[in-house]
Amino acid sequence: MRAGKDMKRVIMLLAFTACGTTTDDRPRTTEYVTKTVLKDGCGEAQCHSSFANSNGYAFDTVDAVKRTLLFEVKATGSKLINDQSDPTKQPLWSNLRKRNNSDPTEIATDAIAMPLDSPLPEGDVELLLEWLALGTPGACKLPEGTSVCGVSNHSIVTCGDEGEFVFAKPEPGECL
Amino acid sequence: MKSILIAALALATGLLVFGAGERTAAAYPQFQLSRDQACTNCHVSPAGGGLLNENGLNVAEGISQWGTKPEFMYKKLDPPSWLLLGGDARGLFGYFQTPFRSLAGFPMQLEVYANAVFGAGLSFHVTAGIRPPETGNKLATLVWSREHYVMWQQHPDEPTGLYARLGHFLPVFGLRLAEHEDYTRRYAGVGLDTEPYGAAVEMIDQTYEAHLSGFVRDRLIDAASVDSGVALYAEARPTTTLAFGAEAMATASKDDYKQRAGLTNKVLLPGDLLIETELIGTRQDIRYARTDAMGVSHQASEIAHQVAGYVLGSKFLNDWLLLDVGLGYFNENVRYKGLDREAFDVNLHWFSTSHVELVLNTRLELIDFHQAVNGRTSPVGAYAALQLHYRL
Repeated sequence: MRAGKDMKRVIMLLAFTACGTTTDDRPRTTEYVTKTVLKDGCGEAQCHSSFANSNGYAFDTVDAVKRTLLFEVKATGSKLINDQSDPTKQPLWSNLRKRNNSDPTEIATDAIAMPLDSPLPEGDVELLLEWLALGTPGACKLPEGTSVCGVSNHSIVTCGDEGEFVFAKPEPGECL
Repeated sequence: MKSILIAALALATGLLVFGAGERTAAAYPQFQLSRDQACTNCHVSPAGGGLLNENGLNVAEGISQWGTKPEFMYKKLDPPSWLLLGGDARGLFGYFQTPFRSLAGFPMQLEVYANAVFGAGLSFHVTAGIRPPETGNKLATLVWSREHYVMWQQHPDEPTGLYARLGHFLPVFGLRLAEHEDYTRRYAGVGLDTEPYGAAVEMIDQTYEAHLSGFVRDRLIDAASVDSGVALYAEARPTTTLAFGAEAMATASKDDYKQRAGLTNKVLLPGDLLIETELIGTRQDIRYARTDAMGVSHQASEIAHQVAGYVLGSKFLNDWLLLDVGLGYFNENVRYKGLDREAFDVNLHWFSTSHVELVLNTRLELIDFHQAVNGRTSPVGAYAALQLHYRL
C-alpha cells in the first residue's frame, strides 16, 4: 500500500517536472541545434563526434557541423541535405524518422533509425527537420559571391542571408 | 523468412555500429560508506577508479565468491615496489532498443594502467588502451592514453591528505558513477572519453574531501570535449553512514558557456542499503548570429536551463552479489514540453573471482514522460545486456 503511494508520488513528480510550454520557438540555427540537440543526441565521443568521426560525420561542435554539411553538399552520392522539394526524401530526414509502413503514427522498431544509443524526443526531431527544411541556417560559409556545384552536379549552391544553403538549378554547362 | 532477414540485418548492423564503440567503465561509488569512507581507501587515484591499492585488492578478494589472488596477473608477474600495474577489459552483449531493435555485442574497455612512484610523494600515472578510431585517421588513433598525469601526494603511504595533479584526467565532479550512460554523467560535463588537460588540488580525509580542478580542452587530438573551465566538488561525511556533497562547474567553448551547480547525498540505511542521489542544474548560453530586417547581422544569445538527476539504491544481496536500482531524469530545456527523459535501471553485479565480474545491465528509457503515461506515441528506449569484466 505504502509502496503504491510512493510510486504515485514519483509519477506525479516526474509529470510535474515534465511541464513547460508547448510552443517551440527555439532558434532554428546551426549554433543552437548543434549545442542543444546534435551534440548530446548524435555527437557523443563514440559516435558522430570529432573524436571518432563515425562514418565521416561529426556533429559535436558548430565548426564540425559546418564542415560535415559542406562536405555533404559538395559530395557526390552520399548526402545529408539536398535541394529536393520533398524533405521526407532527404537521407537525414529518413535517418531521424522511421515510421511503421502499416501505421505511420507508430515509430518503427525494425528499421535502422538514428540515434542508435538513445531515442531523441519528438520535439528535437521536429526541430532538426525544420532546420533542415530551412537549409540549415548558419551552416553555410562560402566566400562571398562564390558558389559550388553540389550533389552530383545537379544543383548550384550558394549561401543565403541567414547563412543557409540555397540550392538552384544550374544553367546548362554551369556545373559539368 | 522476412523476420530472419530483419534479425540478421539488425544483428549485423548492431555489431557494426556498436563494435566501433569502446565504452569505458570505472569505479563503483556504490562501495563508498558500505565498504569504506573515501575512494582512496581502495584506489590509488584521488578520483577513484583504475588501479587498486593493497586494501582495494583485499576488498576485491573479499567480495568475490571464489576469491583467487587479487594482485596483478595473479602475482605471476611481480613488478618492483615502485611500480604498480593493472588493467581492465570489458565487453557487452545484449538486446538494444533505441527504438530500433537489435542484438549487439561490442568491446567496452581494453586498458592498462601504470603508476610509477619517484619518492618525495611524486608519481606518474598513465592509462593507455584502445579507443574508437577516428574515421579518416584510423591507424593513428586506434590506441591512445586516456589519462596521463604527474601527482604529488602529501602522505604517500596513507589514503588521506593533500593531492595535486597535473596532466590529462577527468575533473572530479559529483558521484562519478561507473555507468557513463547515467544522466548525471552523460549530460553533466563528465561524459565518456572527455578528459581534458588540467591541474587539480584535492584534499581527502575520512570525514570530508574537496577537489578543485582547472582544465583546458585537449588540442593535441580531435577531442570529444572542447570545453575549458573550472570544477569544484566537496563532500562532507558527518557520520560513517551519511555524506553530503556540493558541486559547481563553469565552462566556455567557442560555441557556448555553461554553468552547472548541484548537490549529492549518500546515506547507508539499515540492511546495508546505500542510497545515492545527485541533482544538477545547468545554465547554457548559446551564441549565434541573427540577421535583422535591415539585413544586418547581430550576435544573439539563447539560454537553455537543464536539469539532470539520478537516484541509485545499492544493496549487497550476499557477499558477492550487488544489486543496483536507479532512476534517472534529464530535461534538456525546462522551458519546453516533451524534452524530458527518464531512465529506470536495474543492474546485478556478480563478483565471481577477485578478477572476474559479470554484470546484467538493464534499462527502460522513456522520452516525454507525460506523453508516455497517457498512452500516446513517444519513443521508448531499452537495453538488457550481459557485461563481462576482467581485471588484470
